[in-house]
Amino acid sequence: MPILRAGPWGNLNSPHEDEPTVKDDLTNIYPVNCARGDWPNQPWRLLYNKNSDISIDTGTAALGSPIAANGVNYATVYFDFNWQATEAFDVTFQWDITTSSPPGSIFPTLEWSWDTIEGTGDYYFDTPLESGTIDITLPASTFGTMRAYIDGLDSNGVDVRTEASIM
Amino acid sequence: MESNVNKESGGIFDVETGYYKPLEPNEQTGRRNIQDDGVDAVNRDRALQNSIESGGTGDLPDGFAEETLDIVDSNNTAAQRIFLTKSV
Repeated sequence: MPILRAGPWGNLNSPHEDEPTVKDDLTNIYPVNCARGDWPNQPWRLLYNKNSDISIDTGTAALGSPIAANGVNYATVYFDFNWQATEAFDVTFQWDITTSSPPGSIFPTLEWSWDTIEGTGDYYFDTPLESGTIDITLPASTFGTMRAYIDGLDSNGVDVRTEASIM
Repeated sequence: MESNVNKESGGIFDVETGYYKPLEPNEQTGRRNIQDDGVDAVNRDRALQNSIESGGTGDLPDGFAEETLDIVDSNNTAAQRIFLTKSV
């Protein structure tokens, strides 16, 4: 059964919000996508926040578009988006953390979670390797929201670069 | 000659008179309702009446407007459909 589109931005409590002028996770609303596909007049996108001890920036990115945060002690990339889907589908969270410090000085942490307007949800936390991918299955839902982040901490405090994408 | 014509259009041959008796429309097929002949006579007549009342111009019902809206179709495909909408 087809689902009427929500959005273009929104959240679980308010699925029909206009696109904000300032795209910042402080607004607590995020792009609404059709599973992994584009809408007829709006491409797939997520809201990112690349955050470190020396800079912070937010914006929107396409499916598969890498976002990189650069820091001295830590660098984190956050992703937020909403979806609507008539069938379950997979997205892949990819990350790569690098530093000029000696090997073994990076401590990565990864977390993702999703919730649907129907009341289902899932959560995952890990201290993974410095690079990798993880598949996440998102269920059919009239409105779902997902958040993920990957953080790299350089124990030597020299430099750290965290790159990530949702594919 | 006459019997051949009637035979082609359907009818019952009366052995006493030697003539074909024409059938009523439903008798020709033996079909009585929409399940039998695929014709929803009630809604067909209602649609015809609506068409007459609107002057046959295909106007939308009073108060309704056409809107093209995005949907998520089967197989997670984004698509568009035309909806008839009305303010409440």
